[in-house]
Amino acid sequence: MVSNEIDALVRKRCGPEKVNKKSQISYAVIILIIASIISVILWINNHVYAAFWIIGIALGMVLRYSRFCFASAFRDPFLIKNTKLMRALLLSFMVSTIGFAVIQNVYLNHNAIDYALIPGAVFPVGLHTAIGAFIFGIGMTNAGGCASGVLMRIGEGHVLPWITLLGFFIGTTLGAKDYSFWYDKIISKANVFYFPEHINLGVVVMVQMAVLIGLYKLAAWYQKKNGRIEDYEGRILWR
Amino acid sequence: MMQWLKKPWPYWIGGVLLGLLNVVLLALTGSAWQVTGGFLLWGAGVLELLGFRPFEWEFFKIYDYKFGEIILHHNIFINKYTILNIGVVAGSLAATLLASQFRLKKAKNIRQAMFALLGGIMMGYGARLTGGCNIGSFFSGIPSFSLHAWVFWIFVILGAWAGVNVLKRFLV
Repeated sequence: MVSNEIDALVRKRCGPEKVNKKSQISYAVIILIIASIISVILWINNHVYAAFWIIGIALGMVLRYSRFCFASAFRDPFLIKNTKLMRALLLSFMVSTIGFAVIQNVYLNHNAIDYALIPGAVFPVGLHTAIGAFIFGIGMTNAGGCASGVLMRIGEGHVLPWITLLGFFIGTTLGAKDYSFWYDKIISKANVFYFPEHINLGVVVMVQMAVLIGLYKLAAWYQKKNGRIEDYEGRILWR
Repeated sequence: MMQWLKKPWPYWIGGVLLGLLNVVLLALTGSAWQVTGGFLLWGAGVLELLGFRPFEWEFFKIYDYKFGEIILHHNIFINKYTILNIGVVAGSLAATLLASQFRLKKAKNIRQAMFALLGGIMMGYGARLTGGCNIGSFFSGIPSFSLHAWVFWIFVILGAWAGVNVLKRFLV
């Protein structure tokens, strides 16, 4: 019961819960029919496009139905001492770690290691990663959502994420324009560190699963220890 | 049935499904989930329409393996990355309507809008340095066994912590 109350409070920040009196299901059906027609058109032109479209819709529905918010996952542990979203994120990593490992194993058995072609996201690591992620983290909390959150909240009918999206366009285009500066100074000297290149993939998977499970337990312990909830001004709402 | 459509799912179910969908996407298309690549193409596409030549930037030469084909075939506005993003918006819209919770919600005030714009610019710029946002670089990077994603994790948390303190100062 108490845990449900916390959930309700946490969710209040991630989306409107006020229920409209009028049912909108008929509109949902129209949207889904249009989406299906688009799927067929895409499938005829390009099978891969159809896959991107359908999975995109599924991702959007899951994000919205579970009120999944990456910004909150990072922020809640120290803002309201709640790690529920962070633990959900860790769970999703456990699932994708196994899945990606199977896919990459197929690739590695048939190909030499080429970072650009390994299925997944393999990038150079260095100072630029730290600077970029730090800037991203500040921006994420100030805008009140990350890239996936922006897309999700546009679908909810909010106006604000359109402004964040505009900012995203400006920032990311500026970043690409300035890229040669960062590339010459830092990124060109940075290397990719792809764990399976140095250690057997099976071992990497086992170690990573152990780390994720360890972090999950740590997050659960942290919330138990700090079982309270604060609002933005630091007032304790529940302890 | 109606109540069932309105009920939010627990976070853990969302987490497991997002992880699964990312695996399915990678298996079917060879690309993991990413968001800002599509944003960049749109931003650069608009610049091109305005008469600039963004696709001659060094960035697009370095990431030719990712964007080369799209630029070559002039699919700047409609391509796999942007289709995925529009799909996420459409999915969220459909889910919101199924729950009958769609409401146009305006920004509270100019300051909130400024925060949103500035936050977006910072996220966009940061994402370019790290190879993607917290989806493309982090959510897809951790299961790809690349060290950069772990560094991203540490510093995005530090950034979020710094951001919260900025937020607290402005709101109090």
